[in-house]
Amino acid sequence: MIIAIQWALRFVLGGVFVYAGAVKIVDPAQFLVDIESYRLVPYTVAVATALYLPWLELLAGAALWVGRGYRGALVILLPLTVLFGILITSAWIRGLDISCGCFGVTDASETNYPWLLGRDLLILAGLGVLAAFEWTRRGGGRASGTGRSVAP
Amino acid sequence: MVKGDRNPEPPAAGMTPVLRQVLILLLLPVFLAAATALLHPAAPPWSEDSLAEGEVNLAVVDAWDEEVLWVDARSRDDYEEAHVPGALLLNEDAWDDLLFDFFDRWHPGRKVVVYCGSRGCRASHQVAERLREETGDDEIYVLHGGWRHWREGRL
Repeated sequence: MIIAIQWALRFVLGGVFVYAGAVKIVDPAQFLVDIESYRLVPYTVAVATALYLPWLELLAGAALWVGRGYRGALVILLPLTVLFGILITSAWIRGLDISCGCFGVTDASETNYPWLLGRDLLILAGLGVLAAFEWTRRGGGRASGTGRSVAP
Repeated sequence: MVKGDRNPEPPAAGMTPVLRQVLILLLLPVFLAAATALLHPAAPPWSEDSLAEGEVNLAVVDAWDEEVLWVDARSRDDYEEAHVPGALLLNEDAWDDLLFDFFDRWHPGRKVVVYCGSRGCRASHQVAERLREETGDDEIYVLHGGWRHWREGRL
């Protein structure tokens, strides 16, 4: 059962990050507009983020799928998802009208903050479960493939 | 480490591979981002003042020295609060109704400049794209920096 949950989470969360990265790689100019709507960083930093972050999401998401670099991906994606939550909350508090930029132009939500934040927290919870499986070894084997199976 | 773990492992032993993975995952996107910046046809410009394709600023509009048709792509509330003199409201919330007003004022060859709130909005690009499709005319531009740019330049 635990193995099934672990694989399902890896598949879904890996897919979420691969998709989120891919749509932004296709249209970095749109992602730049989304980053700027948060009004937090200077333009040059926003451009660098628009070019860099989608690739990070795509590679880390792919690592969740394939298992290679799996632990490294979790170490990156957990704080990144926390950061996304903080940024969304910050925009909410400031009353900004943002398209969160989470999933590129296909993300049609019009600043539905509870939904944006809830989605972020769901992803965070999923990553937390995967990290707990991996580091406490309660899961159905080390997904990183660097050690022995610990399945009972 | 869970109590009673059957595969005990010194805490430091697992650190190096994880750190290596993290470093690779953080560094690889640097090169891919650089490649995107160089090769992607829609890569954003590094300079804030650079105009993307189809964008103009006030200096360009002034240099045309002709009466352009200003189109305000913001919400009706924003439009009624203040807008570029002579601008007409045209947004995607009430596209079909507002489009009639546009065709009352526009004629082929008349340049159109669409704006929304600021550089961080997208509505002006979407409205401009739809207008190009509706009119079949390419002389439809987006004001870089939007209403904020106009206000700073004119008021």
